[in-house]
Amino acid sequence: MINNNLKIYLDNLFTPYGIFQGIEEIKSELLSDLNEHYYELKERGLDDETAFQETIKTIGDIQQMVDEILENNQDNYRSLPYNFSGTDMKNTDFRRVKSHNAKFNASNMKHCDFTNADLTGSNFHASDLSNAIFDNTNLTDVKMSAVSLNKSSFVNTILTNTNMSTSEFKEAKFIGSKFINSIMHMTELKKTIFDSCTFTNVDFKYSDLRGICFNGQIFNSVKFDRVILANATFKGAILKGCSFECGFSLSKKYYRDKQKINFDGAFMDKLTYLYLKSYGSNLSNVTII
Amino acid sequence: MYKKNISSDILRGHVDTMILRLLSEGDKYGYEIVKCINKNSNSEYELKEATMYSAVRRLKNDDEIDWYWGDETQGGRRKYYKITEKGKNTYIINKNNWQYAKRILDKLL
Repeated sequence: MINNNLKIYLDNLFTPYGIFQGIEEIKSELLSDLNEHYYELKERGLDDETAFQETIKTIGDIQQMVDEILENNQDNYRSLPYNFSGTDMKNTDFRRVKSHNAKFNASNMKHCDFTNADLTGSNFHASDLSNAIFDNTNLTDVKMSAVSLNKSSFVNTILTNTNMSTSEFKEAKFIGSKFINSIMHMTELKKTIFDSCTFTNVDFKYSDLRGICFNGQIFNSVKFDRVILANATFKGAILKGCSFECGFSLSKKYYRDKQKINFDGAFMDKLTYLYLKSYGSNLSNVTII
Repeated sequence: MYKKNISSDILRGHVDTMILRLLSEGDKYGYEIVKCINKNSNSEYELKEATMYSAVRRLKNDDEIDWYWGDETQGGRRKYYKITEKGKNTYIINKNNWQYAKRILDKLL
């Protein structure tokens, strides 16, 4: 007979760690051990409460054990490509998961939590990831094209070679995230929040960045070609080797658009500066570096 | 209390070898390992469940031990741990290493 209080106690103890490989196994072994200990103490005449308290004292440092298991899991399961395509997985807890080249295509993944996960090489094409959390997540080589990422969260996320083209980011937030070689073609970033991010070799071609705030952020070799940037602000931002090409038709509208960008207090290299200058942007308070 | 913590750190460094020693005397399930350590140390060292399972998983990953399901008919089935040939060798090596270190420490401390 299993003591239910012990079971509940163990469940609560493991809750903060989420789901990981081997957790059920270790929990059931622990429960059976604790249960045996509990009934031995009861036989020695201890009352329920004292026996329970004495029993849970024998568990020890669960954090260290979980850390060790996770470390091992990473070695053992590094390249197992899971396939979750076409499934309904909303609200799923993927924290700390290390799953390279997994497939999450065309799935319902609203409110999924990928905090601290490593999803290198995984594919989320055409999935619904609204309200998903990617804080401290490694999204290297991940394909997130044609995805709904409305209200999603990217805090300190690694976005190297990440393809987020044709995705929606309404009210999504990117804080302290690093974009390197990322592709953001035709994205809608109208109400997206960017704070303390760095962009290296990122391509925003054909995206809608109207009213976006890039204040104080760092842009190296970023392409804003044929991007709508009306009312965007780059106050205090650093821009090096960035291009703002507009293609064949240099329409008046395009010039007007460039004029509406706020570069107050920004820093840029000479080429980026001259480039923007030729479009008539207001660069009066820009420092050339 | 302070003293006890220090020595339990030293002891923890040898948990893997303690478990190998116990299993070299016969297969055991998790709780049995904890109980035997407690008994053999006259309750002076209490091996925590979490520490024991970390060690057991480590030993299993290194092929020092193996496990199998027991054939209990009532209650839940138990997972028994069994030492492998590799584990037996490791135990002898670890024990020799410890005796060597102990001999030197006895002279130096």
